[in-house]
Amino acid sequence: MTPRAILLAAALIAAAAVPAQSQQQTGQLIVNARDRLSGEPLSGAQVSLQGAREAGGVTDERGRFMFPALPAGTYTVQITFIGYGDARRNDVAIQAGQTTTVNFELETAVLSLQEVVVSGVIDPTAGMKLPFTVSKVSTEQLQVPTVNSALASIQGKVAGANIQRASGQPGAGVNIMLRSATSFEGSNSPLIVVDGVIIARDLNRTTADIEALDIVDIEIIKGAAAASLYGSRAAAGVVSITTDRGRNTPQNQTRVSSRTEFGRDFLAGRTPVTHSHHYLMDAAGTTLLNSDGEPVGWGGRTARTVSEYGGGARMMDQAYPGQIYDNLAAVYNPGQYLNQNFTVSQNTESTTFLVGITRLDQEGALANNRGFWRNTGRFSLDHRVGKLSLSFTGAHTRQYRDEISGNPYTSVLTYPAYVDLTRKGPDGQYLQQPDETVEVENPIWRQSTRDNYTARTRTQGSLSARYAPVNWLMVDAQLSYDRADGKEQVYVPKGIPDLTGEESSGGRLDLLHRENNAYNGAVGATFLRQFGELNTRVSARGTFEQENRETFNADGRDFLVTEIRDLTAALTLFDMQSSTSDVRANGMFVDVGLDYKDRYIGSFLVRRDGSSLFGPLERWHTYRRASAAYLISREEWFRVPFIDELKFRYAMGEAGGRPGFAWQYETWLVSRSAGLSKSTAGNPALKPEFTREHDWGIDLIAFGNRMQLELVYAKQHTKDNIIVLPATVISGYNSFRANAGAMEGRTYEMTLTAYPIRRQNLTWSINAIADNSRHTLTEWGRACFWGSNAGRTHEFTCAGEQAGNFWVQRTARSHDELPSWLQDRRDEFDINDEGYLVWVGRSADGTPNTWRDGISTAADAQACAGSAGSISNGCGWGSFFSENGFTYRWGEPFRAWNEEEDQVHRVLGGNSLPDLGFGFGSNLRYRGFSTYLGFRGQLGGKVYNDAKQWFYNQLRHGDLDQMGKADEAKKPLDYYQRGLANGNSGWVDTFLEDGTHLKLGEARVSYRFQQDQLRRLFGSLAPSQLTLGANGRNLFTLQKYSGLDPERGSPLSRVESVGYPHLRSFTMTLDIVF
Amino acid sequence: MLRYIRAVMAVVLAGSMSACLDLDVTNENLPDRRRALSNADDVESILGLSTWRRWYQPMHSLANIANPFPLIAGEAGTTATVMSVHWAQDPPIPYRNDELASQVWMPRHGYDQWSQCVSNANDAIAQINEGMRIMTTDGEGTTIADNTDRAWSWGKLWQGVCIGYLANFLDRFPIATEETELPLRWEDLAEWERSQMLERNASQHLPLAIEAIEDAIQRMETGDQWQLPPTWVPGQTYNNQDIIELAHTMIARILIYHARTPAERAAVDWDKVLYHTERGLTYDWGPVLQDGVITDPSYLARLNNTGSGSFRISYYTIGPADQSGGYQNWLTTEPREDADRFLIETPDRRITGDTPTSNGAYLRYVTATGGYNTQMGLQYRSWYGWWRRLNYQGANHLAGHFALATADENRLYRAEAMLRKGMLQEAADLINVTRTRGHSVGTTVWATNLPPVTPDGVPEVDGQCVPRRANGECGDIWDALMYERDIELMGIEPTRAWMDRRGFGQLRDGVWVELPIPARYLSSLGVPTYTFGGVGGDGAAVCTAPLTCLP
Repeated sequence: MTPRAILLAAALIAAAAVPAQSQQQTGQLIVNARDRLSGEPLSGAQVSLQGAREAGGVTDERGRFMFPALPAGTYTVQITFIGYGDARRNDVAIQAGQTTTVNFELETAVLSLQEVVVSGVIDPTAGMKLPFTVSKVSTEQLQVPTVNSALASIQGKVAGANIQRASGQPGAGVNIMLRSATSFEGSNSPLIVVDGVIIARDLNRTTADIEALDIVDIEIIKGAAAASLYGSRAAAGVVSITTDRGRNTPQNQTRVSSRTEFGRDFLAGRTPVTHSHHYLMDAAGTTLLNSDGEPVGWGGRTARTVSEYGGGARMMDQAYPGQIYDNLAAVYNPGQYLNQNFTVSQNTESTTFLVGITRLDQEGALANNRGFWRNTGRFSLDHRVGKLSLSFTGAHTRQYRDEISGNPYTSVLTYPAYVDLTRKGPDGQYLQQPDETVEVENPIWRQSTRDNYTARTRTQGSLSARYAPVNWLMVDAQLSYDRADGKEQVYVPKGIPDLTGEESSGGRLDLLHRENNAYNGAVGATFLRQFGELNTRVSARGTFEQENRETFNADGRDFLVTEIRDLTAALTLFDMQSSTSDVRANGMFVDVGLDYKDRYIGSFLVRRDGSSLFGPLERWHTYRRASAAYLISREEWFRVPFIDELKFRYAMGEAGGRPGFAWQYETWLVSRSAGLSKSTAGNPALKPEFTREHDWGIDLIAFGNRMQLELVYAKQHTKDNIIVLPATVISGYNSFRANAGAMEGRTYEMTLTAYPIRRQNLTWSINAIADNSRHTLTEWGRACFWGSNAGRTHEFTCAGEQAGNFWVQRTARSHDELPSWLQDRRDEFDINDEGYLVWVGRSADGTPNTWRDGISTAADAQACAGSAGSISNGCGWGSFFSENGFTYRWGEPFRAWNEEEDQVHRVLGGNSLPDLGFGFGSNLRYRGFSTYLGFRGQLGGKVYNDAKQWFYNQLRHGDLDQMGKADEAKKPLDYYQRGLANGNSGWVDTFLEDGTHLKLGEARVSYRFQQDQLRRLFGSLAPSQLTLGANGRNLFTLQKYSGLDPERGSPLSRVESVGYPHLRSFTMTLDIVF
Repeated sequence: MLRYIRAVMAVVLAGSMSACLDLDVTNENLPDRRRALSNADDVESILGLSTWRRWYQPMHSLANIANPFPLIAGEAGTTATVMSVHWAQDPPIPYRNDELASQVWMPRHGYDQWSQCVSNANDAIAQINEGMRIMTTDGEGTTIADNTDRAWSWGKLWQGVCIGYLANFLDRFPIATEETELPLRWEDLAEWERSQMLERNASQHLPLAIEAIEDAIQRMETGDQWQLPPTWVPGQTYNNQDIIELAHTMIARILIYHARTPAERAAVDWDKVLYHTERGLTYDWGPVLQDGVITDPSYLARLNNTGSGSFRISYYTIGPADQSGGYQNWLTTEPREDADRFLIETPDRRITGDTPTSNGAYLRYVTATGGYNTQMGLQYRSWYGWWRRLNYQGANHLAGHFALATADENRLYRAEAMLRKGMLQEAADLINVTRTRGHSVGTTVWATNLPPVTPDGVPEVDGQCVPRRANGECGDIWDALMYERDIELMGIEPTRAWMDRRGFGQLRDGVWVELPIPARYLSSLGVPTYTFGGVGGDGAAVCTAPLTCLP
């Protein structure tokens, strides 16, 4: 056809059309799209009309699109553009013969609901169109990389994510629970996926293997409703991490960037310690005396039993003579923190690659301990050849942690303040035992004499391909590999003096090797098809997983020669063990997505999973998901001011929790000394735990895409919980695991993101989250018992109970709590200034003493003469009586007795879960300046101060310090050690505390130099970006809790044990991009 | 559209085929039953060690039977713990069959361990029955002995004993032998167990126990001659004949002690008891205690008294020896917590020396009060502690020969059988063996100083007679038999006094005469929890014996 013929044809068509249009009274519509901040026209934005037959189109280079002839009427104009929030204009009136112009100023998509989500779905899907909950933490909120596990980054940023750390030691992992627990005795940790690679979880502290600096964003699937896609291992949710692949590199450019962060870690907080003692001294308080009144050193010290303080009552109310030392500061001194990252990336039309290396070196704060280092190398490549896309990701991580020998924190504080732990001997070395009366090794010396470490390497690779031969079909395949090698060593050289008897001075070498190989892969296809206004997507996929694990350990003692780390030289070899496991799984699923009129969304999934972890009679299980969303704001009739998007959604999804490797098998124990014996009965019908979740949500975007609010209510019901049951006796086995429990959980979540200020040079954004979760064990297929098979010994395991409950021994606080055999002696008991019920006796004339009389009555042998029964040691502190097998000591608290159960009275003290968890962050940018503050905390919830109980028992806690108190208020050390700490035995209510707190967890201030500034400074060598910054972590905590840090333990067992305290860090950062 | 659907179907099919890993994986770390029992040495080891030691452990290695049963039965007394008082309190309360109760381990260990004893025997015996031979080879692989008979008969003996103990302790229990085919699925197995727990069936299982021991005897009598390896019963190398004697005595023990009431005791097959006791023990059977092999025989540890401990012998046991009237006064003192200790005046030199405060051959006068709390009741106190082992046998509770079944025991069983069969003089002769024999204390040999009992009862000599009844009268020959058992068989088996006394109506009113299935198992099986004991309660003793009760 010639050009002339074309013109003729066009003219004819136009001629034919004009009368028709004239008859319909048409008008013209011009749509302009610009970036709101820069004012630049946006080319390629998709323009569409609601309620019109006319297909839309994309804007040209001027940011313009024209509908040349629209029938007169009123329209809704909608515009979408990747990277920008959707925009819509209602009631656009087209008048016949006239041109109407609509100008859109699009906001960059900064709200997570406007971003694309890739987790829990087959294809990337806009957050606003998701019918279930997937939370996203973006770069904006990841400005301060976390020091231990990268997953700690989401702490306080994702509603429903409960994250705690058991230890502040460098290289420690984190404990994560999403929403509520789905397993009572198994793991509640989510599945972790990094760039599509399912991370094998068999090595401990897996979360410490992920490098924080590599992360671009983290998506969190919190429950089964969204996690159904992952089937039988996703009941506890999924955390999907996407690392930087260089896609943000400007097209056809190569970018070289580096980031350096350096600074120091400090001990965050200190346990109050006593600075007084209870030993005999001269009148001047300068010299210690023995019982004969002779001056002695600390080695000859004698507990003071002066009569005015009662027989044997030891009151710590005298200052140490001479110099005292701050040993905590000596042992925990600030250590270096260094984190360096270097990447090279290139982005062309067909190829994007990134090569990056990162080194983290964190000394921690413990003297003579090298801390933790991790080196990571990473390579990613995306290549497009026609209709075929190939992606490869490879990562290799090596890490090393200098393990701690003993418990330095407790050792330091076991030494009284008069001992100088930094003192060195004639050989210039620290002393093993600086004070011979303290049977504990100097922790500084101890660290220097051991070589205990954990070393690990991890290699991950993922290869994926996508092929789209036609526009309605895409075929894809993925293969991933994850290999982890671990080595652990405990080494005590031959000849090291043996103080505690823990190790032989003949030398010790314990070696443990672990090897994990995990593969997973998938093959599938996605079909897209439009039927009128109904868009359909059907995906089908087959998956497989295999994970092999091998461990071997051998311990040796009594080496022939010194400085040999070879078990060949050990005279005694014992505890040699090995194990192997092989876990396999197959899966297949079909997912159907429906989108009608861009506002009625539906998604339906069926997955069939088989696993070698299920019993042979229950090999395959089915999981389903049905979800729907209604974008009501896209209805033409929707006219609510300020609301840009409003969505109601509901999802019902099912997911599973897999059994452990050995749980299905019948096992006999094999012992070299005792031969064979039956252990666990097998259960060929063992099923995975099955969770069904209902997830209701409201998603709202308002105020011109400046605010986003997500409200979620989720309810989970888990059945077939796997619990340990006593085996039928006839089988001869002790126990077995069976699906005999059920639990329910519910969660309320609120997530708010807002941009109160959004200008070209000034932006202020805030993020806030709040949540509340509870769960209850609804079925328990065996007799109830105190404790838990999951190691949470503070629980009472029974139907109706909540995981995380603290059942604590009740310390008597009222006269009604006296046992029946003491009720007739009520007046001999008094409630002291700390609220505890204590025995005080009564005088010969029947007048009861009071808790204030501990010292004053001690000198009066008749002061307790009116007490019933036989009183020992006179009266006042140190006196006591016994009845019914119990001893009641003057002035000392004691545990209430449950006579019905014939055991100590336990009460429910609370739960580890907070009443309200919350977090909020503020991000302020002004020109090059930027600040970020990240707060988090909780209201309610309990934390058990196990460390305090331990320090009470060790007589080292500051509460024992009686110096400066009035005599009547003084209490002997037994009051704390025996009366309150119960000899450090059991869970005692005294140490269960309110976990309410507010923590400034992250803070950053930075300045990004402008291009012209850089050119002035560096001329032609100027980098394209240079940013200087300062980071702070764990800066301060407002808390009711009396311990060091309420963020300790695990979500279901908030216990602060004596261990490596959490650290506080201050660092500087330098980011350079060329 | 059709093409679209076809394509989807094709890919779904292809996807499902891609998931093709074999999901059958073997646990290579720990063996299952098949692999565990594939080796003859292991089968022999299971029969040799994992049968009789399972019978022994709950009674002697753990405190859960060794502590409470002597207290429950009134053999011993203490106030060392609240729990001690709980066991022995007056009036007795029902057993608290509750997983949360602090005494939860008391019945569970016996139930667990004796059931495991049976199960282990079943598994290993089944292997032999299917043709496995237990061959012993020299270092070069040459067969030097076929020990199949030894393993089989030893395992069968303890299979029977453990079933017998289950039958004597519990009101009901499930049981299987090597010939029982148990369901594989735990739900089915649980259902099978549940069906056996719906009614009391202990007596129905008793013949199974006796039959198993008799089978063992038969194979020992007809099979190869052998000796036990010294590792099986530490320090001992018993042969066929030794174990045959043990088996006969065990049958007698199980038959006699199965009775919960005097009426059931009278209905025991006494001819059978006569038969077996005629062939029973002529020696004291048991291991030589070795640290690390059989440790902490708690019954001995508690009973063995050097003066510092708090376990004393109860007046329910030694009171009938008293001639002062103190025992009758003690029995009738109300409230019971006022029934304080008293000095025993007796001619029985096993109890005291020449004076009430001097040491006897078996018991020692103890003045120490460590661990006793008068607030908890005076009736648990006693001036006398057991030191027979230290004194008579010269060994403490950690070393030496520990007799678990004795010739005296067998003789006294036989004596009862004779009494039941009207052979009164023959019975008296047997009772008089221990009643009149001498006992050494160091280098001194003392006579018991008790005159022989006659069919008419114990003679009164110089105004003294032992035993003396609760009403002060001299005892009859039955009383003499029970008294002899109490004194002579103390320190052998911690449940003996309880099992023996229930059949004689000697237990206090309200003491449970059998135990329920522990709550943890009932709960798992969905069977309602139940219990026994308490005055007037189900399964509670009613005291009728003249030695301990007044009409």
